[in-house]
Amino acid sequence: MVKSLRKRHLQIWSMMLVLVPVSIISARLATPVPAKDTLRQPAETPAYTTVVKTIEKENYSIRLRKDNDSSFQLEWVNKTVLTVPTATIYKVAAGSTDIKAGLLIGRIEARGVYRFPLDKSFQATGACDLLLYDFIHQQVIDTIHF
Amino acid sequence: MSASYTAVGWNRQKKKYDWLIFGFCVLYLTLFVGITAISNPDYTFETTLIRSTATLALLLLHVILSIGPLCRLNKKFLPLLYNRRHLGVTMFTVALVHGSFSIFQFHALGNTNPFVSLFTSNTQFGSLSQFPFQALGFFALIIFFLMAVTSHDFWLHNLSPKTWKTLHMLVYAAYLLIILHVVLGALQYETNPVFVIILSAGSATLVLLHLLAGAKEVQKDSTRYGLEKDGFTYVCETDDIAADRAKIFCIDKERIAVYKWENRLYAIHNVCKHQGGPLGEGKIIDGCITCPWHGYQYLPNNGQSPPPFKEKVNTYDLRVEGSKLWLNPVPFPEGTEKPGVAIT
Repeated sequence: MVKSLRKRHLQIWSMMLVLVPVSIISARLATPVPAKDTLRQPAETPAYTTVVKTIEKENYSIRLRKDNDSSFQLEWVNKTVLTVPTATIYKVAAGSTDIKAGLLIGRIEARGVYRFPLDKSFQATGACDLLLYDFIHQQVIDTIHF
Repeated sequence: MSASYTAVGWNRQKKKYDWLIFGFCVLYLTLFVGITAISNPDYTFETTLIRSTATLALLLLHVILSIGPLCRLNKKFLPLLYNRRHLGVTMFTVALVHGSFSIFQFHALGNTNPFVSLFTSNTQFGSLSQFPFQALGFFALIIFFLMAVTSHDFWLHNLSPKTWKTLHMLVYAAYLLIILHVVLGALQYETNPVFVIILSAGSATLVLLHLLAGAKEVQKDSTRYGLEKDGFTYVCETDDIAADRAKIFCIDKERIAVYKWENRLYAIHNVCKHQGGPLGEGKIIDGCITCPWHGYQYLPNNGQSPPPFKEKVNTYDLRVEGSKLWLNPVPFPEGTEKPGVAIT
């Protein structure tokens, strides 16, 4: 390498010394806190004993389950692979499509059974909808009235 | 080194190197898919393929970018540099599989053109957590594509070494785009700290290697030579240079390689005309100074590549007084005949 090229390499990597850590740290700080536990695939958990409500759709079944100490669980069964792979489930007020005001419940991907724990306020807040939301395309895929 | 443009000839060493790369990639992908199939049986094959190729391409990119500084820090790594382009094209191919499957899975299932969808489905440029990270990966892939298609020496000669080198240095911009693509994309929902730690360790190693190599070069460039006489600078004792090898001296901001061959000393410019390789770190093979990077050769007595090749470098004047070697740093025009000086 000629001297100018050596100098350019050193300048570039001196900038990298700043830019790379800033990128990683900024992105880490910006990671939404709810995503930390809920956007990852939930570990397989046993189904709660009592089915409170069931909704059947063409491609998926949704069940609200309850166990003996009145904890709630949302069971989502994907019958087929979703055509939108970046799907998340939000709980919103009935008739609303504003996910920012909603509660992120979890993320679903492939065919299979997904179970998400719900807090006790799930039913206490009255009528609500579940939104199946594509977070890449920022679109509501489906609305499930509960 | 070739006098005309021919298809790449795979010699035994290149074949061995390429089979090693191929074997590693197959092993990595097989292990990734196998482990995912056991640990997450509900994942689709497309999702597993997107993730396995993403991590493999990122790993290969770190290896590729480490080779340059490793060679400057230790000559033992030079064999890796010889076929670095093969590794680069492999990395691009793996990244292309990742990009193609991602565009298919995330953008090809709607009514919108997948490439239009890539740039219009998310326009939250003001948000870090919602940033359209896929576009960053797409631009990096374009850079890797341009580098892969211009990797043959045909393009080096036709674009000119300066343009070619500038184009290929865009890999550093691509690296930063890839880091952003990963941290603003996958790591926004795969928040296990292990992923951030692995990525940070890889980046830190890379930056450190480059800065160490750069510091070593600066140190070499700032060597001071005390004695001067009639335009000549005293550089070393004649015994300090091993037979068929060279020592490199940096005088007046340029590096000069002084070779010892058949009991004579020859001085030529240290920079190879092919890709700027350090000629002084090579050795004499078949009577020719041979660049350690890609094997380009020059005759010691005139700095010319042996016919039919046309590359030429500057030659320099030397003087031997007793055991002391003196070098005149003023270059002769490229290819000037200088028969070398005998060692007394």
